[in-house]
Amino acid sequence: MDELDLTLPPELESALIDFYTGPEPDRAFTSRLDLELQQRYEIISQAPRKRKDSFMQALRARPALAILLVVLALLLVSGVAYAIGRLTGFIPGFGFTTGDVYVLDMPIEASENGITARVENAVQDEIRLWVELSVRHPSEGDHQSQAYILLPTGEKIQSQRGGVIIPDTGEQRLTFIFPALGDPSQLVTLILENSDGQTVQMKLNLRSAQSDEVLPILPGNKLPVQGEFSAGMALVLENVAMSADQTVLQVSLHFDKPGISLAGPWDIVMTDDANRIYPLTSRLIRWISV
Amino acid sequence: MSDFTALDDPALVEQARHNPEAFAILYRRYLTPIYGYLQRRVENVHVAEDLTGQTFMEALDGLKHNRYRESGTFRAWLFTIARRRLVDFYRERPFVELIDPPSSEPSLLATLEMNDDLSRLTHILKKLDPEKQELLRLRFTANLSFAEIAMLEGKTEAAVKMAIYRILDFLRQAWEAENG
Repeated sequence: MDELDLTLPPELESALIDFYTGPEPDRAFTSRLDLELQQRYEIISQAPRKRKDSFMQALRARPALAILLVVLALLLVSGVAYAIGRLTGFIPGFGFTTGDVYVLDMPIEASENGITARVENAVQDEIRLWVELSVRHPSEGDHQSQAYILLPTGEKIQSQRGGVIIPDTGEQRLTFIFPALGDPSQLVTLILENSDGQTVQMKLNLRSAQSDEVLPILPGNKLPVQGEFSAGMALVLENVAMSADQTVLQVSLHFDKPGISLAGPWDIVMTDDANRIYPLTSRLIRWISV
Repeated sequence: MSDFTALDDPALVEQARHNPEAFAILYRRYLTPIYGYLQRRVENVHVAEDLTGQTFMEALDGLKHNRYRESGTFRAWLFTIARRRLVDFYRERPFVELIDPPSSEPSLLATLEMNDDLSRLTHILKKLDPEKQELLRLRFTANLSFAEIAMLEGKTEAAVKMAIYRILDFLRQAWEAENG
């Protein structure tokens, strides 16, 4: 393979050899480089073999590298978790967006009998429908309100419970929870009735949540729930979102001192009163220093 | 004292990892081709010497630190280093001083003036593009095999052989045309 089947004229062949025969290096240079290479050889051979630093030693010696690795790891973890979350229909931190989830199409407002009510949010999953609204009453005072859903069939569904928050504005922020509607796509009527028997009605139009839509979280005064501090830290349940096949618990870990973080691998386990373990299927970790 | 001169390259390379004499043999074996190739490329004695020194220093470091693997040949690896140093050199200094110190040997120009055939060949070679000139340098100055050139150029051995065949055929035709 290393021979060419080509015959060149002898003069050309000779000229080629003459032309391409490289010039000889200067003898002084040859000797000098020879000596330098010998010295270099000795230096390399005598130099103690550099011990490879352990990974942790390298990290200690190079804080910037450690920080960079942590950031990269967090990006990787959160990125993968977010991607998995999106695939499974969960928007991290907010709730489920796929399956039979319906949301308020747009805020609605109505005024009747001196009562002004505005529905801010409404979300129906497979278990319940919750409605959040702000209400302004004609007179100040403790207005105990009730809410109903009036179906097209004439059936009236009463709210299971309601939370009341009264901020400085004088408005009531109310949340009512109903059983899940059989057909959430149908137009239903929300009826709000105060303790004086005055009512205000609004047409509640729900639409199917889009796959990438961010859902509002049920407001309430039962969450967050914080456990007791143990070894300087406490687990706090921030939010719960449920779908047909999984439940998402948004928890955070609180430390009693600033500047503390968890070291090493850790996991979270959920059990019930009967010590049944509910397996963790996926997790999203966010590190927020407060 | 061991006689390493009879050893082939692979055996010599293994010895050179822990025996300076073996490395010295390798150095002497390839000093002239490496230097000649670099001299042809830069046309400057000082630069060629400097690059040659860098090439062998890097080869020594590579052998001692096991960076050389028997995937190709030692000669091809050496020329890979030399060409890398050349690239670095041109990156740092795009223009090379063409003034060489006076030499006791006849200059290239003087040699050309003395030899009509060489003068004619030089004239023909100028018609070749740089890539083809490099192939001829690797083949005739560096004395690399087609397989070694293929490795350096990232081509197949057959493609290199065909390319050099065509270049030589072009030279032959041009040579015969000039000679009438």
